Amino acid sequence: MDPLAERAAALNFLRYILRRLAQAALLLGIVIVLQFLLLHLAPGDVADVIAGESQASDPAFVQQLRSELGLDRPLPLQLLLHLQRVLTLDWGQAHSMDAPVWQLIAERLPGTALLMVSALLLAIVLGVAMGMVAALHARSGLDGLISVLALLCYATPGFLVGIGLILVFTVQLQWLPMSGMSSIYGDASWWQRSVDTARHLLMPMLSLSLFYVATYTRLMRAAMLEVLPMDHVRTARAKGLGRWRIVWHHAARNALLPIVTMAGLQVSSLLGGSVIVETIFGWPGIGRLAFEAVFKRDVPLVMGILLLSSVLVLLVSLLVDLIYTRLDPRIRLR
Amino acid sequence: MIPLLKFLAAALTLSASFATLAQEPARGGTLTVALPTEPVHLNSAIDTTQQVKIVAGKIYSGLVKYDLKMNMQPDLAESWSVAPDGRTITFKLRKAVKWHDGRDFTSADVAFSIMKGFGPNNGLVRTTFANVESVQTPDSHTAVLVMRQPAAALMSALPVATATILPAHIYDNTDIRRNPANTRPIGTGPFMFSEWRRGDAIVLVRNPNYFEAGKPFLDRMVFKVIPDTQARGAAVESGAVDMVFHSTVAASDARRLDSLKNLELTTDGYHFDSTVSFAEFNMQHPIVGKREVRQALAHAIDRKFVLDNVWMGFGRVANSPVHYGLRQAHTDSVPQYSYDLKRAEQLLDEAGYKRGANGMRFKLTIDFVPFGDQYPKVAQYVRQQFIQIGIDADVRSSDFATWVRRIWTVRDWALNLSALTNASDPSIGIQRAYSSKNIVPGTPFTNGTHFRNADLDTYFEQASVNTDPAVRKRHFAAIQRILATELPVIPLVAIDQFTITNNRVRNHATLADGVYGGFADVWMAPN
Repeated sequence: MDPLAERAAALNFLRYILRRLAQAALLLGIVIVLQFLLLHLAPGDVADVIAGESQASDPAFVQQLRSELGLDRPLPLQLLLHLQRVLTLDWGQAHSMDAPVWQLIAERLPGTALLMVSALLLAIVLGVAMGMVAALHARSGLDGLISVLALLCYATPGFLVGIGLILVFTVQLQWLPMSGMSSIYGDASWWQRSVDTARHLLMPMLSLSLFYVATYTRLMRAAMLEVLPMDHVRTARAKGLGRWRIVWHHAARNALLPIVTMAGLQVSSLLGGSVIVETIFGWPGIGRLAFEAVFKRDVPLVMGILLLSSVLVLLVSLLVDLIYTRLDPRIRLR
Repeated sequence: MIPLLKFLAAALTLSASFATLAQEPARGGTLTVALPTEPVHLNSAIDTTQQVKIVAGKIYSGLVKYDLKMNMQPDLAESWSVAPDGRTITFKLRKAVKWHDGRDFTSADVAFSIMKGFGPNNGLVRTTFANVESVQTPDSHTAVLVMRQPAAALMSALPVATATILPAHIYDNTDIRRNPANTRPIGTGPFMFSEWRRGDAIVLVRNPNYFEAGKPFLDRMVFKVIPDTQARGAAVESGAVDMVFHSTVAASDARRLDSLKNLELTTDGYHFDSTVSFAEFNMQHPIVGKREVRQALAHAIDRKFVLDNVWMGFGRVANSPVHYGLRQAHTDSVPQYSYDLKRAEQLLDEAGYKRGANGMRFKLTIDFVPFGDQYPKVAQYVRQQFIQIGIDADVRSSDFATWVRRIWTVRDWALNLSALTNASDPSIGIQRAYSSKNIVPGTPFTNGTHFRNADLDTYFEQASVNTDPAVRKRHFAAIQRILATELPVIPLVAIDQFTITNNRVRNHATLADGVYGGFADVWMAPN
């Protein structure tokens, strides 16, 4: 490639990224305002919750709470103050948890990241493998078995899987710990801690990923069945290439595109699913934090988490588009 | 031969059980407790939620403790005396008590806690302690409370988890709600704060300098956050935790867990959580504002059915909003409303609400407090009962903040299913809900029914300042009779809260505040 064309391509790429980021920023702004208004449309506020939880029945006390929390100011002013805080990267104080929002999120982020990434990886690896096997043995007994298995995983809600796993592996067999991320409270080596965390991770990861394993299995099977009879596969076979090279390089690579799309779209739904799994397994993650924040009407905390998840979803969709170009050179960035 | 063997076996079993009874407390071990919700912080002086109290109660101390019969026992105070006119209360404090950071505990800490700590900041008891004009500290081990007027409930409102004694050297002249010690507390109690893994667990370790020599017995306490009800049941069943408290596994599950060999269930130790569930009325409502209608509805609810099928028998049928555990106040000699649908229909007919062409008399809404899984069930049951007597009822479900707004601010409701903590005294727990002085629209857990009765107000006021138990008991009986006659509220069930523990855990329910106390005497039997 000549240097000029190379430079043009790089410039094109940069322009593309900048445009996408600008779009994302605009979208974020709209999301922030909408969410703020939605949360304030509902009756009741965090002072009601705090006073209610402590069964306080003293008007001065509730008024004191409300003015401490700035809830007695007019709504437009609250919104302006909120936007100002977001722009200056001051995420404020979580009223309901008495801690800075960024700190709460930072504490929970590693847990959720570990759970989501491992569940997603497991789902993709298992789903792709099972889907390929099923497609290669289409309409055989093995295909049928995989289809039934996928259907089961698809139809069983995560909380049921979670409770079932606990009953088997914790209550009956007593093999795995059922709650939290660790149960070492004194000194321990790095290795001991990692093993401990891995043991805690197994069941939540499995319950979160089974639904996605099913999704990817079915998706991969369908995509493979579509790709396998295509001309370029036949050509590859005619060239005398090995079976696995054909399957992997010529068929699977094309069949992976819908999986990547799906995985990108599902990052936000994974975050949603993690609410339930994190609740059952007492896993210290963002999902549970979000649920508690909404329930307690903690606007700054909800907004913080929302900001984070919106950024995450926008970044992932950008990433997905970039991965496309790697998988399929025919796709161009505009 | 065989009888002899049997005798020997019996003797062996007997001696074994005697050995268990006489067992010396074992030292060491970790006690793990399941928390349904993570606490916001660990300062129980400014927060009365169970999850804060159960952890903070181990770290801090109170002035006194109460046995299961509510007799006072020394904690930070060695002795106490109340002047005959009830206007001065003197506490003699224990000497040589150290805060966890090594500083000396003195009467200044007590004065600070009452005047600037829990006194003005604890939502539940601040009206009681508002009667304290000042706390004098003649020497570092004497604290004298000078009262504006006597506060009859004060001496029963001093357990650690409510009247938490905070370190003045850390809290004085700071913003008590924002003090960093709220999440890294420094107390005088049997356990010291060690670590907080947000969203996962809180860890406490043994205080080697605790003022009761040789105690506590446990090395460590871990409070593990397990938000899911089923998972908490599985956790205590599998031994992953040693204790679930305050009825936080499903009542139906609790019966099964209780029958397991390795688990024990007790309802002792919830004196300060005495709770009665009820159906209350909006007294301004055009239909249920009428007494005959309320009485009719009371006859339509089978409270025994509710007790057995919703609370699975954990409690007693209630005739009064005052819990039967509050022996200084409770009475059952009040007008009773037996389960009688015919009588209910008759009363409605008499009130002028005859069945219409479609067989219905009128329409009502039913709201319920969105905590726990019991109240939606009660709501469905009550709805079915109402349909039988010709009342069309809608059950409305809402989140907590919406529900609070609906009952206390918007007031577009007719019947509300909820519960109220009695605390340790009706002057604290009941007065707030029915005195007309406490009708404060917009403030949760005030008088939300807007019930007004001048006699009732007078009885409440007299009971709150009179220190003679016999007189108070009479006033409270009169109050309960007025409530049962006028019926702003139909009491349903006086709930028994329960704790389920691994049977290795000993001595956890020996005080009136049970699991919220210090646990200095709690120990774990070896495996």
